[in-house]
Amino acid sequence: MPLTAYSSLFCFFHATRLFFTLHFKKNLVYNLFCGEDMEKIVEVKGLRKKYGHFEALKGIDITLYKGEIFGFLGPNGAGKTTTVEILEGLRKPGEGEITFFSEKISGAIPPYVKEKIGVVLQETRFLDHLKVKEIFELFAAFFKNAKSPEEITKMVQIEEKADDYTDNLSGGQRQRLAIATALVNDPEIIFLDEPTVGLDPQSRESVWELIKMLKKAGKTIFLTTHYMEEAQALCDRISIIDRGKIIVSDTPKNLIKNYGGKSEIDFRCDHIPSQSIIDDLNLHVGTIDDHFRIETDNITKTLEELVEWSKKFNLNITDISLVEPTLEDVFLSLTGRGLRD
Amino acid sequence: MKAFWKFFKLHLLSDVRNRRSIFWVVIFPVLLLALLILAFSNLGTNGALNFRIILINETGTSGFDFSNRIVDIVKSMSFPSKNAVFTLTEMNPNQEDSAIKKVLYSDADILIVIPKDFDSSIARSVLLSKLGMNFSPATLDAFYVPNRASSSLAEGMIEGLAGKINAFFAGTLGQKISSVVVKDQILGGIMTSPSYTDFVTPGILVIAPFTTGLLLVAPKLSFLRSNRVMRRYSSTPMNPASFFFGFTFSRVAIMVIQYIGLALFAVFVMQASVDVFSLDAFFYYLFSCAVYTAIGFAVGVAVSSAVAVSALSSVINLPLEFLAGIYFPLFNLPWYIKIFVYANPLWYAVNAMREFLRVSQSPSPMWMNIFIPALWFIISMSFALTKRAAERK
Repeated sequence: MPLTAYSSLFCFFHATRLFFTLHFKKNLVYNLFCGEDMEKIVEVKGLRKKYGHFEALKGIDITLYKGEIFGFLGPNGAGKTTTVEILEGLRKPGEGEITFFSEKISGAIPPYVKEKIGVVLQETRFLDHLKVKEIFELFAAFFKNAKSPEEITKMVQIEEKADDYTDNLSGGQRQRLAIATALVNDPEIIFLDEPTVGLDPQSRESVWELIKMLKKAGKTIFLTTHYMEEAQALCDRISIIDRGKIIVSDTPKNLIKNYGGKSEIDFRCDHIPSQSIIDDLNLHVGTIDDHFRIETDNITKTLEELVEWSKKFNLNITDISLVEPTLEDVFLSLTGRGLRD
Repeated sequence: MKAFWKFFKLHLLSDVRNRRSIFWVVIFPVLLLALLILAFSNLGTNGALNFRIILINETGTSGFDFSNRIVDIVKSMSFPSKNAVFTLTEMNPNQEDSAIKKVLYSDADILIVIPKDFDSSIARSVLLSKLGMNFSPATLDAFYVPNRASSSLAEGMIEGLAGKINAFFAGTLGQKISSVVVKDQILGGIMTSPSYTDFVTPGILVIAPFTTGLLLVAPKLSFLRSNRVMRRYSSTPMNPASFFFGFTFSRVAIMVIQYIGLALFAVFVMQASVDVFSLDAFFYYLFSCAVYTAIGFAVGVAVSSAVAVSALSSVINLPLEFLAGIYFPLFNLPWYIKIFVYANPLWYAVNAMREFLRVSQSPSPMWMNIFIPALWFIISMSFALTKRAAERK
């Protein structure tokens, strides 16, 4: 084959790769093309953990790639906290292999790894009667290379609160401070454990913005959450754990597509059509009181058919809504129970 | 080291800025000291119903039985007689050293020794007095600890007993003379009988850091654990020893401030004449601070909720405080209460502090004053560290 052909193939491959990198990061194709080349930050293989006779983790595998937001979902008692606490260095692992930054770790997470990770625990509290800047001073003292308090307060937009006592901060401000303390050491990976629990919608939105900003800054984020909309809005990939095992891992979009079930169109007409008219729609139509519900894989096509049908029988569609499957449905279909059960 | 200093400084700041902590830790002990002194400084030392007496009769067979009469009188005033004021233990002359130790270390209130020449001295004094000549009365040796209320009261009882004996001789021999006198043998060094101010000051110097151990260590630790602050610290590369020592030393610093404040208040305001500048006392105080901090650690680790910590602290604090002889002297206690007293680190601490502050002789040996609190330290710290390690598995 002539050299130009090789060059063309080479250019084609890299152009395609660049295209997918820029535009289809969440797509499976991205992983197919780029997955192997992405820098693995954390790799967990066959992790097991026992508490007495109870096996909390039954051999789980997790991979975190640089710069992604990885969502870790699961109901209470599934093994989520144990996994996260092992990775945060709060618990010793049982069997299995943990690799941080291409280095295999044996036993508990060592201090030099902790130098590169940031941790935000659920509903973080601080010592009372201390100022925000003093909290930073304390956390800065834990690390060899710490950023200046000014730099971090500015980054998380609480610089005007630096001289305030932590007791006087609102829930949202306190959570921003918690995230800020996790950034003191300029970590490569940040573990966020239920970062928006107990926050009002406005504060939650502001924490989401902060998380997105951290992703833009190239940080890798390991997020555990109970809020499905949070996982859907923020995560590039998600793993769902149940009874100590990871039952599925994929992008939110693919999880919903593959396991979430069909979308539903819910509508109501100005008068209730006869059964023969409904049958003419040629779709599976369910009824709830005076509402009709159609399950569909192709929303656009079904909507077109619905419009045609209403015109044909001179029906006015008064209410119409679209019910799309969520991660909650994914969990329900995979485990047979809700995430919060 | 950086983390240690930050922990030390910020934990200290956190408490110094907390008005509630300052009240309970600094102001309350001062108020308590003032209140106790104002309320009880005129309190007498009466109240004992029964005294433990050891009697050694050194007299042999001399033909006179005055000494045996005395033994009979003491027996008649002892259990199981009705209205007994003594619990009598008779010992042999060769056991005198052991008897002295018993009095010194609070196992008995007084030791009475009837000397070898007692009978002949009585006979001589009776004879010489009949002849109108001068004579030296016979002596009963009373070994007691004047600074211990029960011992001092027992000595008073023996003085009364000597009066009874003289009255007996007066009745039987028809002579109004003092044939018998009590010769005091003071044990535990010569210290002036303490005022209530002097008595209670070492107790307050013991109870203040103990309360701090329970108030500023246990609840704080419980707060740090239940609110996951400890977990947050553990997720960083800081050495756990930095936290441990930073936190502990910040507590000890508060206790030292307490010592200085209380000591100055006691000496300059309440006019206590105790040796607050004694280095021995200060070093023992520091040792006590370590013990109470360890107890605080154990309580803080044993339970996690604030309510449970408060309840457990009260359960520990009240009996230890009241069975330490801080506010009033302890004597005439039933055996089952004595067990608690002898296991109570505060009792030993109060004893040691009273001796170091030159208030009174310690009723317990000094090695016990160190050993028992040290045992509490070891048990408390072992429990706290083992439980923390188990939590991290």
